[in-house]
Order: sequence, then structure tokens, then C-alpha cells
Amino acid sequence: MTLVAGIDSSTQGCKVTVRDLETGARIREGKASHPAETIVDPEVWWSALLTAVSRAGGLRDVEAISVSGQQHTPIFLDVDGNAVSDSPLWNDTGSHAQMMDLNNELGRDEWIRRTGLPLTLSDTVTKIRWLRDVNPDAVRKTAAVAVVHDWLTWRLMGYGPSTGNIDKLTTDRSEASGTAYWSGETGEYTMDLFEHAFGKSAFLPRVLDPLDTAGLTGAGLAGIPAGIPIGVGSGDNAAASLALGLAEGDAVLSLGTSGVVYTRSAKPVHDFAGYVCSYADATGDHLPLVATLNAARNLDLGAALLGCTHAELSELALQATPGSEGLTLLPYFEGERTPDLPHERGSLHRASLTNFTRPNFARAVIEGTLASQVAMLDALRDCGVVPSRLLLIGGGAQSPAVQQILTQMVPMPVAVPEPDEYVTKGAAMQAASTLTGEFPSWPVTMNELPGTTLQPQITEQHEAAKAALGYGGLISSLQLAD
Amino acid sequence: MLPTITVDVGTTSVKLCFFDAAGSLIADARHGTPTVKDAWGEIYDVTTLAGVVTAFIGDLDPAHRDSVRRVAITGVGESGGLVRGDLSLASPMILWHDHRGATYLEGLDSAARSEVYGVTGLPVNANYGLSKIAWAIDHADGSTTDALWLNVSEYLAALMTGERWSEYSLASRTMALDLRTGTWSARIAGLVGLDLAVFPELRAASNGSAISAGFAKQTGLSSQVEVTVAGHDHMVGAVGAALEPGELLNSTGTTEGILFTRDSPALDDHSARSKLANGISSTGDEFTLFASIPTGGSAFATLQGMLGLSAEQLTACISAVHENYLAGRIDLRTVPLVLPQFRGSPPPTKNASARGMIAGLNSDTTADDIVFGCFLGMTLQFRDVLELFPDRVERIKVIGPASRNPLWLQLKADLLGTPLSVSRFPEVVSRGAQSLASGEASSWARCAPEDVFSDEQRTRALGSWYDDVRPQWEYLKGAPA
Repeated sequence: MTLVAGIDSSTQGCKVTVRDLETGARIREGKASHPAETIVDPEVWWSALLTAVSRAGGLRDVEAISVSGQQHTPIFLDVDGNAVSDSPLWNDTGSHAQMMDLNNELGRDEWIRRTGLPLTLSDTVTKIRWLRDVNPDAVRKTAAVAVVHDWLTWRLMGYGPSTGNIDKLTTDRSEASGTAYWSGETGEYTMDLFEHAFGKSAFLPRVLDPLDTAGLTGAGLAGIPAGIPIGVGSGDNAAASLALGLAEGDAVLSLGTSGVVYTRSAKPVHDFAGYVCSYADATGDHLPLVATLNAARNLDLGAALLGCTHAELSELALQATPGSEGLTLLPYFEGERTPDLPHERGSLHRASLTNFTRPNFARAVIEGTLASQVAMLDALRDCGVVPSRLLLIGGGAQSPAVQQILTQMVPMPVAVPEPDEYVTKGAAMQAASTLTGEFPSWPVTMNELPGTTLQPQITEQHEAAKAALGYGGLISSLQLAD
Repeated sequence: MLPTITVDVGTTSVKLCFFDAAGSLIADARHGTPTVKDAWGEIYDVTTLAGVVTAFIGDLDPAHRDSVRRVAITGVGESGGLVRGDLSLASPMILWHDHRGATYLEGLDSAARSEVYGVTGLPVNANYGLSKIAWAIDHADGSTTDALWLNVSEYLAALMTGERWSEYSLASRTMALDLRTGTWSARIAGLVGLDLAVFPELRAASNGSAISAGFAKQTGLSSQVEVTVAGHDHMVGAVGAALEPGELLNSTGTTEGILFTRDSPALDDHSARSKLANGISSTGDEFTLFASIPTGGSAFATLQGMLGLSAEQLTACISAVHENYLAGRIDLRTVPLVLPQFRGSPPPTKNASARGMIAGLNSDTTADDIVFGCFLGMTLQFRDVLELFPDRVERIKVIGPASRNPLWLQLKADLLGTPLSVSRFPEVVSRGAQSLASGEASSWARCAPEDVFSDEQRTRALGSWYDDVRPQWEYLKGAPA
């Protein structure tokens, strides 16, 4: 049996999965946690990777490896390969002012036109401007800027602090597309944007093609054999879409900590409404993506308020009728990015003596959560990307109520892929490609949900609730909690 | 006092009491108000309702039953139905919050609405009897030739006495009574095409009738017993609480009432715009100015159902939240803002289709936060309505279930910066009914009042918090229904 390994260095932790090259079956895996802080010494990610490898029983029998990771998060290296500062994670909110500055300086539309990204505080470019503002000395020392998967790939090649060879850093299109200094049209870095943000130039990782090999593993790495090929790697969503076999016309709704909707497109998009991020995928195509801050955690809150389990929440929700007798929830518990309501909070609407019941509240939580996600499909549609099938993944996807209610809200077939580690699976497919020259056709079992009658009032109520609070369109006209 | 059986027909329950000559509560019972749905809305199940009353009388200790001299009936205003001379119903007995007659008011222009307020002291609204009477005439089951419109309390009195009459405080909730003359207004009745023939004789609460021989035989009561219609429950509560000028009665049942007694009605533009409801008191010699907040004690049941708690568990939760509040352990900034319009909005909008909202929910919001926010929102709503009144508050008397809710009371005292005097006696309305039936004044002291004092520091904190949320509060109130 030939084995390959896929690594997912995510926000919360690092997972390593070893798979059979022929079938993609999971053979073994290991995990390690990342710290909860949002500005960290990047060495913690390398340490967690080695721990996860160890917990997976080592990779001595593995013949290829590849890394996927959290998008956007930068690592600043000096010419010798040393990190010059701690790294701000994509979800660190300290770069909000820098996002505002960059938008003001060049204009919001210019970033969209040049990079396909409506600039957010998560993008790499805002992080490098942040470093320039808070630690100009570190900027002065910076010779290269990479994101997490680039740097871990480079470490697997045997490079690291004081080894130099920063010119051996590589990345892929999906990671480059999340920096906001790369063009989906040209496939090239937009160095003028990088220099505008950073105030100087720096070496940027070489962008590899989907079936390239990043290099070979170095010697002396605990549990990792030397000289095996390292795949191109990618951002996490790109890896998952590769593993899911996403085809044009397919869209993915990932109901995790945040809600993400993405689809596959042959061309990059430019959403001047400001919601769709035009990322690249791991196959050479593009991955237009929209995200909400609030998603599966909404169900946690709903269950906590009702004092019940997630299974009971689902059962309660299925006792109620579509529309929850008018009870409507806008689930902006953490503020929201889609629509752009960073200072708002959640709200419950049209509560009456007769409809304010446990079943209706449970259903309103799920309907509100899904209405926010379905609205993102509209944002994609506005960019000319019209999905014809929806794949439901993430922690919330297994809820029977989520599954049933979603089918009442979208006019397309919905399928739920069997639970798997799709990010590590996609990375393992990239590893496999270094051995075979192509991505393997590993099967994905889909649970096709039965179709049902559409219930447009769910979305209509959601829109009416937004209108009641002055949330015109997707942009807030009233900052209630400001 | 005269030994009296009192019947209080509330929105959610029917309270029955027997008071002895000393005014002591000797026996009491409570039943869910029997209602059924018909094709248009909700109506009383009058057979069951009458049965509840006779069963209570039958269950009394025979010595007590023999001692009874009065039956005094009070209840919700604005309900009613058409009752023929033989006491058969020509229409359903319609609940107070049923709006089946609303279309009869739609054609009234602003001049007509002003006229209605100027004559009856009431803002045009389908809660009041007028539109229900018009609907009942048009949808009558059989002849209405000798039918009269009776409130549900008046109907019960008719069943007991064989006589049909209307009591002034209840009549003043029909939107057909000329407030200043104390007579039915042909002009206002004519606005919806009604003739005065459908309106019964008017009587003061003290003016009852002897029970019929049949009812005496059925129940075992003495044929000397007189039945009085004590009147509208909130106004009867004012009698039970011995309300005086300058005092506010905060009556907390299923709904929450704010009531002042006055020497003259308030018929000015501000009162009209504020949709404050004038009326005649149950004593018949004063006027009342009243506003109803639709969501009152019903919020307790709403929270109980939504959070899946038993009454005891929710009471314990309220108690714990109250303790946290007193100990300064509640961060007001994290409390959700609750607009508790769970059954429509209070004055000045009085929109029955308005609904409740909860804003400011975040990932850390707990059930306790919702409970605290709900009672805080109810208190804000109470203050908003109170500010509509032209009357200066010198003392606030609280009666009803709120007396068992320390959090609600304390928030009210703190937000208003005014101490409350709270009745610990649960049946002040029934006591007022006995008082009216006996022709004797009640006293507040007999209601075992306790003071709830405001705290300067908490008043300041709530004031500061309100300054921050005020724009949001005003916006929520103005959001489309």
C-alpha cells in the first residue's frame, strides 16, 4: 500500500491524515492544538505540525506529503529565514484601521478591480500594513513575506531560522489569491500594491501550478522521511473543494464557526457590491467565496437559551412550521460581514404570545442562520455565478433540521457529503499528484437530500426583518449598537 | 361590609372569592377563563363560565353560603354580546381583544374620530364594544328585536337576576357612552349605523337586583341576595386600593393597567393623540384616565414557555437575577434590549398587530439575560406610557401578580426613581367588588402594602444605560409592525 499524508494547519490546530494512495481511505491521523491568541510566534505552528505527525505515528512509511492551511496569515522573515515578529492571524481584528486606510488611499473599488477582493481586515495586505504601522523596525528587517502553508512547506524542505534560502519559498494560486496583492487575471503578483501597503519590496513565494512539486523533504525532521516530494499545498477552502470534487455548477455551503459559500468558476469575478472574494482554487480555476461571521455557533446559542441539546434543538425546530409563525431571527450575534454590520448584534422579530414558543424559537434560529447563508448565493448570482447544486458541509451540516429547512429555501438539489477531513484529504490529493502526475479520483459519498416544496416566506421574513432595522440591501444604513 | 361572593372574569382566569362581613377572604377559587374559537376569533364558552360560578357557590360551606348577601361581578371591559329578553344569546359573547368588528371603524375620518374622543373620551379602536355591536347585529343568530348589548360581567348578572343592565364603568368602555352626560350617545352609535335600542339601562355599581327565584333555587343562595355589577376590573381595583387623586394604580394582570382617578375627563388634544382612555369610575362619581399595556403579567407565561421552565423554576430564576441586580453583578451593557410588544403595542400607538422584538443578542447572551431584559423592557414601556399622562404621580400603588415579582418591582422603582407601595393581598379587585356591593369604602392598609424603595445609584445606572440605548429603543418602537 502506498501512503500519502495531508496536513491541515488551521486556526485552531494542526491535523495530519495518512491515506491510501489508491482509495483515499484514512489509515491514521494525529492532531495538535494551536494557541487561542490571535498574534503568535509562528514557531507554534511548526511545533504543532511535528506533534501532530508524532501523534499520527510518524510518517516514515509515507511517500509524499502536502500542506494546507489557514489563508491570509503572514509570516515575516529576514534574509536568514528568521521570523522578525509574531504573526497576526487572519481573524485578529487589530488590522481594522489598516483596512480602512488602504481602502481610503486607493479606493475600495481599485482593490476589487486589481485583485478581485473587497478588502477585509483578514487579507494579508492589511496585515503587512499593520506591521508597518506597529513595528516599522520589523518591516525594515523583513526580506520575505509568506503565509502559513508556504512557510510550513519551506520548513518541510529543511529550511528554517538561520538557514537562509528564503528564495526557496513557494505558494499556490489559492494562497496568493488571498493576499490582495495577486491578480486572478494575470496570475502574477501586483507588486505595486504590496509595496504600497508595506512601504518597501520583499521576496514573495513563487506561485506554483496545481500539479507542480514544491520540493523534497529535508533531512533530520522528526518522524518525517527525507527526500519525499512535497505537494503544492493550498488554502483550506481550496483543499476542501478539491477533495469534494467540486465541478462548475456546484456550490459548497460550509456551516462551521463561520459560514462560507463558494463555488467553482472558470473565471475570476469582481464583486463591486463588496461581498464576493475572488479566490483561486487548487485546480487552476477560481473559487468565488462569500462568508458570514455567524453560522454554526448560532445553533450553540439557540440550544443554550432553550436549555437543550443540539439534537433536541433540531427536533424542536422540526415541530414548527416553515416561517416559525412569523418569529424571525437575524443572527448577527458577533456583528456581521455579510451583510456589512460589524457593530450590530442579533435580534428577534415579531414575537407574540402565540408564536414565541420553543419550537418556533428553535426553528427561527435555524431559519435565520440559513437565510444568511442563502443570501450569499444571491451575492454569487449577482456576479454571474449561478450554482445548480449545493453541497452542505461543516459542523452544522449533520442537523436534520438544518438539512430539511435548507431544502425548503434553495431551488436546487442539496447533498450532504459524508463526514470526512476534507481539507487534509485535499492536501493528500496534492501529495498524491506528485507521485502520479494527476489528482486521484477518490470517491466521495453524498447523501442526496429529498426535494421538497420551497417555502419563500422564510427568506421574505428575513428580508422584512432586515428592512425593519434599516439594513437596506447588504449594507447597514443604521448602526444601532454603535 | 356585607358577606359577598365576588366573581372576577379576567383575560386568562376567573377568580371567585367569598368575603365575610369583616372583609376577610374566607374562600377562593381560580379557573382558566373558558373560551372557544369561532370562525372570526375567540369567544367565551358561556355555559362553562356560568357553571364555574354556580359550582363555586355550591362548594361553599353551607353556613357561609347562607350568610351571603351580595354577589358582585367584575371583569374585563370591552367584551360582550347580544342578549335577548329570554337571556338567550343572539351573538357570540366576544372577547375584549377580538377585532372582528374592525372594518366598521375603517370608514371613520379624522373628524369623526375626534368627535368620538370628544364625546366618549376613547380613541377609536376595535377593542371597544361599538364595532363589536355593529358586527353582532349584522351576524346575529336569529332575531335581535329585543336584544341588548351586555358585557360578559353584565351577562352573568342577567343570568342570576333575569334583568339586563349596564354598569357605568363598563359602559364607558363601549365607545358609545357620552362621558359628560352619562347617557348613551345616539350620535356616536349612529356612526356605525346603530340605534340606541340595543343599549341597556345604565346603573351604578351600587345599584343591583335581587337574584331570581330560579337562581336561588339552583344555587341555594337566599332569595334576599342582591347581584351587583361592580364594573371594569381595573377600576374596581382602584376602589379596592382606595385610590385617591394624585395616586397611580398600577394594575398588573395579564395586561398591565395605568389608572388615575380625576374630577374631570381629559379630552384635550394631547390626551387624544396619546390615545389615553377616559372612563367613569365604578363609584360613578369620578372619572378615570386609563392606559392598558397589552403585555403585562402574560410575559411570565411567555418566558416560562419559551425557556422551558416550570413556574417554580422561572420564579427561582427571577429571584436569582434580582439578587444579582441588587448586588450590582449585572452589566447593563450586555443586556438585550427587549421591546415586549408580545400582544400589540400600548398607547400612543395601540397597534394590535405590533409584535415584540429583542435586539442586542450576542454569543454570550444567556436565558437570565433574556429574563432580565424582558422585565427591564416592560419597565421602560411602562414609563413611556406613564409619561403620556397629564397627571403628576405622588404615589404608585401596585396590585396584581407583579407583587410576587421582586425584579419587576425593583426595576420599576429604580427606573422611575419613585418608591412603590405594593399590595401583598392578591385579590384587590375582588375586595373592591365587595366594597362596591356593600356601599362601604375599602382601605389600602387592608391590602397589606409593602414599600419597594428606589436606589439612587441604581437609578443613575439605569438612567445612564437608557441614555445609551434610547435611540435604539425609539427606533425599535417605530419599526414597521
